[in-house]
Amino acid sequence: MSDFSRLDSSYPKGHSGAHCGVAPDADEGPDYDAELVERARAGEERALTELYRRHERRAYNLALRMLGNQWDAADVTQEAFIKAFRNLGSYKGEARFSTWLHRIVVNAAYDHLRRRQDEPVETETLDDLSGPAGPVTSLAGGGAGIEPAADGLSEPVKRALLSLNEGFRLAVVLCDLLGFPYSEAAEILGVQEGTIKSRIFRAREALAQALFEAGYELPRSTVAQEPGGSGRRQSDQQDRGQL
Amino acid sequence: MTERDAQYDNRGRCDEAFLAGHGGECLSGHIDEWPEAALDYLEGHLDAGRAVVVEAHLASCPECFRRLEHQRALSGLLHELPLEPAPAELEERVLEAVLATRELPGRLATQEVPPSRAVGEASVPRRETEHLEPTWWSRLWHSRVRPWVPASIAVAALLLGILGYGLLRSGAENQADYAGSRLATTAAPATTSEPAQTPTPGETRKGAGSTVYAQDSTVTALGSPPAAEAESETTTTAAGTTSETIATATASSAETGYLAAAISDRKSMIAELAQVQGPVYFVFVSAKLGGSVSAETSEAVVQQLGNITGLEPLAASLALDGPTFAAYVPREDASALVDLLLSIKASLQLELHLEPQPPEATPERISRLFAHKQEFPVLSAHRTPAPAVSAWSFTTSTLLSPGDTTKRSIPTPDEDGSHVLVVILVRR
Repeated sequence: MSDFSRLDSSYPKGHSGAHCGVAPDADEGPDYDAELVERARAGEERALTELYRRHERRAYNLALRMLGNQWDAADVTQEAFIKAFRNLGSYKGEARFSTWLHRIVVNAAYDHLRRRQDEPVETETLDDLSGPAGPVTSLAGGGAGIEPAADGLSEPVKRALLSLNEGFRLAVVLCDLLGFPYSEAAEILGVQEGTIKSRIFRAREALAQALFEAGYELPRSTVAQEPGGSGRRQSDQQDRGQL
Repeated sequence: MTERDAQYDNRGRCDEAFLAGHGGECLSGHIDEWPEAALDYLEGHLDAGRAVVVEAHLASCPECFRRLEHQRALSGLLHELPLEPAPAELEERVLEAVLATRELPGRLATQEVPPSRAVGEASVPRRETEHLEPTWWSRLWHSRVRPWVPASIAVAALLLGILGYGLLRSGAENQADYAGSRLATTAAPATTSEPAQTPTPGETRKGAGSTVYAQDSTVTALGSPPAAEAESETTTTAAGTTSETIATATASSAETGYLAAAISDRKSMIAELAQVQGPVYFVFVSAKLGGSVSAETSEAVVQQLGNITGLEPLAASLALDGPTFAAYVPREDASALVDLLLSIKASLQLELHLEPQPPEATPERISRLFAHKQEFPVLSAHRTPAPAVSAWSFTTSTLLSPGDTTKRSIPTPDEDGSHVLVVILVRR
């Protein structure tokens, strides 16, 4: 009976309040963004810089996880910030600035994906990208090519993420990776909060499965301890890598 | 899945009497049937009664307990992963681009800019920035992996544009020459799926569509390099007159964010689409008396537009004073859209105006139209790959992503300023 109680106590410290994570800018809160927007509207360049710095990392990582490579992510992040800053006049303040901005990032990334789909891609291109050329690219056979650059996530996690359906990946990236509250992720994607939770649940299940199949073990995982499970999994356990 | 179910169904039984005493009720099924409650429980957001229910189930169902553990582990793992820093140059590029256009509302409001300068700053440099800057990052990418290099395409398009622009300007006072010069410069590129054809009277619908397509590709070759336009500003008296019109229109919209008056020249239309805030109306009117377009010509517009873009006219109950289209267009695709519409205009010998309000449309009809805002598609332009250097193709897509069943509260792309809501009307 007491086993499951540790689920709560061992939950990461960042996960508190009505959030699925803690936003990087949580120290000063959304009100500070609103203040910066006002100052930027009044022509203060420094306010723009500050707005940029407060949100660039999450915006870039969102684009990176949607598009799968740094170059496209940089393009889309740049485009989204320029659009947002040029249209500060049309920002009504009904949503948080970060919600509004990241919605622009998502739209820009979708536009980018649409354009990219229309461009011919030669076979060697896919080889060159070692798989994750985009959200719809199969990961099968990846790894033989040149990795564009290290991009932070460990390879198995990155591959597992890219194997997810886009809607699920976006939900888990926004909440688990970038720390948006469920409610804000729902606003960014224009879906109900319940939909976000459901997607995150299913995404994490798929991630756990993908990682297990790739031979990796979750931290303090019980994957291989299935009651009544066969000895095969137990022996696999010895060969499993760490994430 | 079936193995698990067979194994644990009997363990998941619910003690109703116990739960009733704790203010809860039984959960039906396993954890994947109540994912919201599971996540809320993980984060301690479930009220006491429901938490008891979840715990009761977990205590009796090791499989669900294990799956909840995975949820926790994955959440923790992802949450603790460091985020990648954005490229260092990005900040400078963003701020330079934004500050260079001087479009911060406060700055615009406080600076007195001569009209001619306002035109330049509000339209031309921004088009340059939007058009060229994003490809800076792409170049690293594309030069390695793409079968064609955007930079060289851009140069080729620029050269074509300068050449074509001269032709265009030399015939600017004559609409027939205007269309002719565009056709003349197409000779090289058209290797699109539909070959360029010389328009002949009585062509079939499909023929008409492909003719426009060929024209479109040329028009874009002329229009795409903004730098060429900027440098050629001084050419003819016709151009001089035009730039005054632009100055008025652009200055007014820079102040209000809304299109103030009808305009009909290409450059102003593009400039307006790139910055106007409200919905705008492209209206095809007849050059002949009364301005109403004949049924036959109107049908031809619908066909051509449909063939090229995939757009379909709105239902008659939503239409304004004639066949009506509505779509969200990315602002950076403004020139592609304008050139497309101008090519249709030229081929059918119509007039085209960009208007703040459609003529003779009642407010009721307009509000009825916008009640269906979420159903309008996004219309995007795409450069077709080399060797058809300058051609555009168009695609439409709906706002709802595949698998998205919630049709309420979807933000429309115009709300964040990235797209402009365009209504195209053929006046009957």
